Parts: sequence; structure tokens; C-alpha cells
Amino acid sequence: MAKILIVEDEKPIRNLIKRNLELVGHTCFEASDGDDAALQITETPFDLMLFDVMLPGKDGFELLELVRLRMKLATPVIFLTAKESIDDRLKGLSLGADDYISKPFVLRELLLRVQAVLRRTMKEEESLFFDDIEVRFSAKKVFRKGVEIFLTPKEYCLLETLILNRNIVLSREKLLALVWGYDYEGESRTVDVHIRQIRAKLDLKDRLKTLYKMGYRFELT
Amino acid sequence: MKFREKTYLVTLVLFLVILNAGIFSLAFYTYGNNVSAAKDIAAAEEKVIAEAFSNDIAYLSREESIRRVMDAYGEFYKKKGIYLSFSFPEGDAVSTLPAGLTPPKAGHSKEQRTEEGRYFLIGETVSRRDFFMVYAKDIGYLDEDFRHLAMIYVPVSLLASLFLALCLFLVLRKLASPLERLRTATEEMAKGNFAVRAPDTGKDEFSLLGKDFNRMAQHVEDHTRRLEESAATKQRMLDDLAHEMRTPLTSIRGYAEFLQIANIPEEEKLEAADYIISQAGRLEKIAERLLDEAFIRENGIKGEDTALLALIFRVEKMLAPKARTLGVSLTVEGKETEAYCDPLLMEMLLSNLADNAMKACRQKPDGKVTLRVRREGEFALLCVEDNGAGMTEEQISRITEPFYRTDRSRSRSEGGTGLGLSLCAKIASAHGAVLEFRSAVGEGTVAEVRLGPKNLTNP
Repeated sequence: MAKILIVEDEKPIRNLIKRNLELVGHTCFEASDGDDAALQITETPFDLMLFDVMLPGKDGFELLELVRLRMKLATPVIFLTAKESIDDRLKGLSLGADDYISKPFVLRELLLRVQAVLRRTMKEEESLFFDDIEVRFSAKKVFRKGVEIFLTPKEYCLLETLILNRNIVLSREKLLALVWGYDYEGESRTVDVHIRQIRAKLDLKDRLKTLYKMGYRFELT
Repeated sequence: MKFREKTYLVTLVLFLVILNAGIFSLAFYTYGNNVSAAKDIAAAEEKVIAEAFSNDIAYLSREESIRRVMDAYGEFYKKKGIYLSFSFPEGDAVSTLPAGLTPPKAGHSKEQRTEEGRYFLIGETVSRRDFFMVYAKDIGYLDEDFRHLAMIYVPVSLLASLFLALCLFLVLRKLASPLERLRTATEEMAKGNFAVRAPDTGKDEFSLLGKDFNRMAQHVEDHTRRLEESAATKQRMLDDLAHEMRTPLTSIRGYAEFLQIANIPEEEKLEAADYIISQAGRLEKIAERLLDEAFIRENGIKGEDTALLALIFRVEKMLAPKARTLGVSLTVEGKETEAYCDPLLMEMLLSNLADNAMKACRQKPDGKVTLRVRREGEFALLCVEDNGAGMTEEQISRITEPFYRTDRSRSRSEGGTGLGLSLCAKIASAHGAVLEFRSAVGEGTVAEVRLGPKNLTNP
């Protein structure tokens, strides 16, 4: 998955973001101030960077200028800040930030936005292998022991969503919205039916867990 | 209608009425005088004519000669606008009188108007021969003169009135201009511009009013500025508070969510819970500090005569463990002295200052914090001196602002609320004391509380 730099001076929040991004399979690097971040940016190529605006040393805007204007990198940047004034937001976006999340944020929102930005900018991975299964993202196909297992488009899409959000509980409503679309007026039982199908076809009882009252979670660490 | 317009109209109307009435009555008076003077002259003329006529005919006895004299008189005076008629006692008359005039009785005079003019007539019996002479003089020229005068007077009066109106307008405008400017200033002020001032040079009522207005405006401006400043400080404090609360709230919420949805081992769950507890603790601490401030504000101080050296020893004892952990030496200097203060609050103040001083020494290998008490006349001085990082002028000026931190991230990670020195400043001001910082970057800081005698305390 992606290499992500988190620049945030509040340790609890930095740690929280790191843990969540690692859960879904990203590799995270941390910086607690702007100068450290600048150093890391020059040394390591990242796939995505999360900047707090108010930082000791260089602030988030200065970091973005460094990335865009001086280093001429197109690496996606998401601003992450308690400041939610329109001015700041516009300044961030006009400097070339890809998105803007204001604190306090909901974790799942952060994850989805990161995913969305990455989907726009990163080439998709070819395949994901686990157990005896290969999920070939590029072809939208699933193989078990080298043999293709036929999944309906919705089943495949559901499986992919769960894999991209691995280790995180997704509620039935959320899955409905992500896979069937926000205007889909189906029942949440639709999700249950499809999950049962995927489990049966791929024998995923141990990986695809039901959490009582919460939803489903694809576990892969 | 504006005062100026009212004054203008009233004055103008009054002035014009009085002026014209005066001129007209003067004209009529003159006219009357002219008429009576003309009559007097006429009477005198008549006497002369009658006398001359009487003399001229004194030696004539023939009626024909007399008639010739009568004709000659008639012709001669007719050219001068005087008409005569002579009647023989028998009733026969020689007359140049214009038609329509009726002669008055002998010894009387009268005025009569005909179609042609206005005549003054005198009747007289000429002596000796009992001739009845009527003298008539056309005095129409007087009316003519008067009409002529009036014809000149009306346009002149109109012109004068216009000129007067203009002058009055200009004068009034000049006189009322301070009032007008005062009004503009008031209007401006009503719109919220408190910096306006009215003209106040001079000694008339308008200037006095202007001075009073300016005093009032100054007062309002000062007051408004104070209110605005205080509101801005409060707003800033609230904004900062919201910001301060947001960060721990984000962590608490995030970790709770994390616990709820993530597939993580027991160990990480405990860590997440730890974060939740420590961040909630931060919120608690902020609330506590704010309540402390509120308490001091509401209840004031409970002062008593306090032994200050003993007090700073208590502070030293309380902070000694932390000083050891940070590797900072903490010492007390000074002679015992007493001052009037609230010992608990003073302890809180000093321990806050000392705590900050120790944190400032953190990066120095030979960190040293000294608590000192000394007396300077009637003032008792409590000092906290360190050889730590020091502060810039700008930092010192802002250090007692709520939530201001010289080193944001480090202060927070150590659990600082950013309210410590704000509380210190409030405690000091509740004591009527002065809290002062002197510092040099890289060399250290001296914080000094200057406690006055009892009567200066609790202002």
C-alpha cells in the first residue's frame, strides 16, 4: 500500500492517525515539527503527506510551498487542522493541497479521504495475496489456488471495499452507500446476503468477521 | 425646519416689514408736509395777488379797464398754473378757472379734484370794491411727484430686500456653522465613529457646547475602546479555549472510535485507553484552572500576615521531587519577613513560577532555580530566578495571556494547560501586587512579585 508521512505536533493525534492508517495496510512515517518534516520530505519519496497547519518550526503552508514550488513534487497533500476558517482552507487549496480535513475529524472520514486521494494519484496495485487467494484488482478477478472464482460485480466490489478498509468495522449502511451508492434504497439485509455469498465462495469465515450490531470487518494483519 | 432657516425667515420677514413700513410712513409724512407747505405758499401767493390786484384797480373806475386788468391777471397767472376768477358784486365774472370747480366762500379755502387735476381753492373778497376773487392752484404735481417717488422706491426696495436676504443668509450661515459642524459630528458619532471631534475654538455658546461635546466624545470613545478591548480579550480567550479543547477531544473521540471499530491486540487497546484518560485529564486540568481563576475573581483573597520565608520553604519542599526528576537544583535564599497576603494563593503563584522556571532549565546541564525573598522599604519581594532558556521581549509581553506558550508542542506534551501564568497574574493583581519578568535569551529569567503593605493590598 502507500507510504504516508504524518506531520502533526500533538503526539496523541499523530499516533492515532498512524495506527489507523497502518491498520488498513499503509506504511507510516512521523514528524512532530515542520523542520523535521522538511528533512524527511527531501530524503524519502512519499505517496501521500498529511500536514497539520499550525506546527512548530515551518508551518503546514510553508511545507506545502516547499513541496510544490521548490521541490516541484506532485505528491498528494491533505491538510489536517483545528483551524477551519474558510481563508485557511482556500489558502491551503490554492497552494495545491489535495484535500482538507478539520479537527475533530471522524476516523472513517479520514481513512476514506486518504483512500480517495490515493485512488486518484496512485497506480492501483496489481494484486493482493493472502492464504490461498489472489485478488487481482486490475482485472477485478479473484483466484483461489490459481482457479478463478466467479463473483458478481457487486460481490467483487463489496470484497474490494472490505479489503481496502481492512481491519476496520464497516457498518451495513456504510457498505450499502459505498458499494450500491448513496441513493440505493435497499435493505441492509442485501449486504448480509452478499457477504454470505462471498464467504461461501472463498471460504472466508475466519477473515470476514461479523461484529454484532456493528457490521463487518475484513481481518488481515 | 432647521433653527438656522427659522431664524433666517423670521429675521428677514421682520426686517423687511419694519424697513418698508418705516420708509412708507416717512414718505407719507413728507408728502403731507409738502402738501401743507404748498398750501401755505398758495395762501401767501393769493394774498400777494389780491393785494396787487386791489392796488392795480384802485384808481380805475371804468368797468372795461377793470375787466382788462382782470383778463391780464388771469392770463398772466394761468401760465404759472394759477387760475383766477374775479366776480363783480353784481354777479358778472371774469374767470380762467377750469370747468367744474365750485368756489369756496369768502375767507375760506378748500381742495377739489376734477377730471383734470387737483386744485387748491381760496375765496377772498378783494378790499375796496367788493370784488370776489377765487384763487385756484393746481397742486396735482405733488401727487405726480409722490407717484414718481413710489415708482423709484419699489424696485429699489426690492433690490435692497434681496441684498439684505443674501447678507442675512451669509451672516447666519457663518454664525451657525459651528452648530452645523457640531450636528455633523453628532450624526457621525451616532453612526458609531467615536473619533470625531466638534470645533471648539472661540468663546461663544457654540464653542462651549463643542467643548462639552468633545469631552463627552472622548469619554465615550475611551469607554468604548475599553469595552472593545475587554470583549476582544474575552473572545480571544474563548477562541483559544475552543482550540485547546478541540485537540484533546479529537484524540478522545478518535481513540474511542479506534477501540470500537479496529481489530487490534489487547496491548494496543490499553494504549488507546491510556490516551483517552490522559487527554480527558488535560481537559479536566483546563477546567480546574479556569475554576481557580473564577474562584479568585468571585471570592477575592483571604489575607493574613504571612511569614514569607516559611512560605517559600513550603513551596521548595513541594517541588523538590520534581526538581530531582528534572535534574534541576532548587534553593531558597533570604531573611524572614512578613507581608499581608493569602498564603494559599501565594503558594500557588510561587509554585507555578518555580515550575515554569524548572521547565525552562530542562535543557541546561547545570539548571538552577532560586527562590528568594527580600524587603525593599515597605515592599516585600518574592523572586524566582532561573538560568534557563530565557525569553524574548515579545514572549514576555504575551506570557500572561491565557493559552500562550513559549514552546507550544513541548509544553503540551508535558501536560501544561497554558493557563499557569495567566492564573499567576490574576493572583498578583488580586493582591494589588505587581508581577514582573526580566529575561535574557539563553541566560535565564527572573520573575518577581512585589507585594505592598496591607493598605495597598486589596485596592
